[in-house]
Amino acid sequence: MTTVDVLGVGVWTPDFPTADAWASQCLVPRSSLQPKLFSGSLQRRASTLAKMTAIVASDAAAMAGFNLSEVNFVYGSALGELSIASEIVAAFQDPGGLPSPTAFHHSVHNAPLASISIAVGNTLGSAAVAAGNATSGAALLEAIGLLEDTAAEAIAVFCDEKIPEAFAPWRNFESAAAAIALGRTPHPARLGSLQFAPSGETTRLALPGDYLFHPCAPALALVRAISRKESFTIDAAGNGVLVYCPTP
Amino acid sequence: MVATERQARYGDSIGASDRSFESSEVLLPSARYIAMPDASPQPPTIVAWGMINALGNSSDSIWERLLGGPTGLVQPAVELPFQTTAGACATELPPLPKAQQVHDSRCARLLAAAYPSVASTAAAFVRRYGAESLGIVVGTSTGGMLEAESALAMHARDQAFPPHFDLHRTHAFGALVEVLRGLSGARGPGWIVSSACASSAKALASAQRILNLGIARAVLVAGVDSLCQTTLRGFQSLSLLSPTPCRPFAADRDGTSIGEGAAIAFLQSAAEGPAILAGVGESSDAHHMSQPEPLGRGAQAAMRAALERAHLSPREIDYINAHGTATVANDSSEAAAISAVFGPLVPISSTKGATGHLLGAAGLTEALICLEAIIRGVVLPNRATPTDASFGLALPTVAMRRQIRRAMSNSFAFGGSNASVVLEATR
Repeated sequence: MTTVDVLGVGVWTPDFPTADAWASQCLVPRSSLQPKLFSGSLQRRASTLAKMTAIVASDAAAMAGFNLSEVNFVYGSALGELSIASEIVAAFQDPGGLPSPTAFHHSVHNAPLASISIAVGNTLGSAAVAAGNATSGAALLEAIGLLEDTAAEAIAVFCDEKIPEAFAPWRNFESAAAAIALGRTPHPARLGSLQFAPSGETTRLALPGDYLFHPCAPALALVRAISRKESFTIDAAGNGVLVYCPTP
Repeated sequence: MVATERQARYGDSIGASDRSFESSEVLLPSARYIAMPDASPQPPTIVAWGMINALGNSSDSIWERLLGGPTGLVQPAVELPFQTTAGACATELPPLPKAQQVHDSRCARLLAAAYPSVASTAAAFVRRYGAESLGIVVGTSTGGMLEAESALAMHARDQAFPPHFDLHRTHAFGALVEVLRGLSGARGPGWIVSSACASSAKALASAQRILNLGIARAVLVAGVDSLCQTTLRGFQSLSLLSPTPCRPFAADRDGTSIGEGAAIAFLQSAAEGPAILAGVGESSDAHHMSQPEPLGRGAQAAMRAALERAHLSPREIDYINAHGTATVANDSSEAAAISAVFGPLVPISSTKGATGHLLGAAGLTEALICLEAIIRGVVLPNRATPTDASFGLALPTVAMRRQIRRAMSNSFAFGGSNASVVLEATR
């Protein structure tokens, strides 16, 4: 099986905090990052990436009718918890400095998935991946692999935050996250299908400038195409492409 | 220079895997990519492998030290505001080939140092099936963090980054995939799996999924992490480091020791080799970011899932290489989990007392140690005595000769991310 059904999407950016706003590119007032999924302590301690992940995963799950405690997650992020890493390293300027324990255990790449797992009691296996600008395709292939394997449902999350001030010389982009809920085909409520093909042309990314250089730009563009019922093709992290075809 | 003898010696003693590789494969009409979406998934074979860590730079030298040589855990060279030991690779790491130098980092060099063990197998495969048929999955938790630490320190001091440092090509995890692509010529699917200390065990699961999907015919799987201030000071901030070489499963264990290293394996469907990757089980604790669930329920779920996928019962496992970090909480939780799944009889050891905790490299390194145990028919000992009798488990403190047909390796990580790997001898 290299074809799966797309059942739901989620998007969060500071300017477009829902999939609808992202699809229509209608600017809305900057929204705060307060995922309903996280209770008091997680709300305080979770990173920006974890909060973005919780919001888009919840939205995609709600659209797909998934139970967050019973779905397999794949998380793709090219740079991971870069802000926390910078904060930790800053502590070392004091020769005796130690990072805060909370910062350290939230610095691991899989921390956003762990936060969701703890919040909803999800005990299934999950995967956290990275592949530079091919992170979108990598996360989708992992999710398709899980569906081929044992998973009935999977949510792929794509998430990177604005590059922190410490790394100012590098080209920046706006923080953004997207999620795609996937199920085995054929599913009666599918929005469309996603298929691996060994070759093919990728669709040109037409995104606002702040998002064009986002490491997960292909997934952000794919989610917009899904919402707009448009076909779209992205690179599949190596040879091959992933082709989205909307349900007629 | 890392020895390349592992596969060659195996080939000499049991049947040359390169020759078997040539003869056992069904010839397909094209040597390029061929999707096999309807093929029934078969467990992949471990065709070639290698490792480098504080114990040595070849499987043989590492094995000898594991049998009872001196521990690799010594006073770390880096300056730290507390007492601990660490497992640093003693070997001077050669520079990367020129084409990969834009990705230069200690992790990249460790990976490149382990690569010769699989180089001839990868080259033969690429010649025969095409670069697009070879995938790459690398497990890591630190990536280029060591270089980012130096770069940020320099920036804080001089308002400038070192010229060789690049956020995307040095620090970001994806750089390590590019290094392996450059070394091997692989052009198939490739990515990093980063789930803290379970990273490279989960990389094996990811590789198996790539093969099951039919989007590659073979996968280079690696695990790598280097020592850095972030992990050393971070584990200390959680009060998880021992001031002395760690003592897994000892009654008086008092914390872990961090190590560095790399492991690499060439996995191929329908190929000849000493063992198959029979199954990988994954689960989440849903409990705490850095504390294991006390009864090890998540660990149990991962071990049971691995057994189920391998179509094995618990009594068919001959040896378990435990996660065994030597923290009070991990070893108690893992012991409870192993006891619940296997009972008291299966021999269990942790090799972290010799290598240190290799973090993202631990899962694959310890799976390959299981592979060596299968080939050599030896259960490795726990270093620390006395072991904790309250666990009621078989924790040998001397090496035991024993036929090992099937072995399990456990990896349990921050975020409650668990993976158990089962390897099975092919003959």
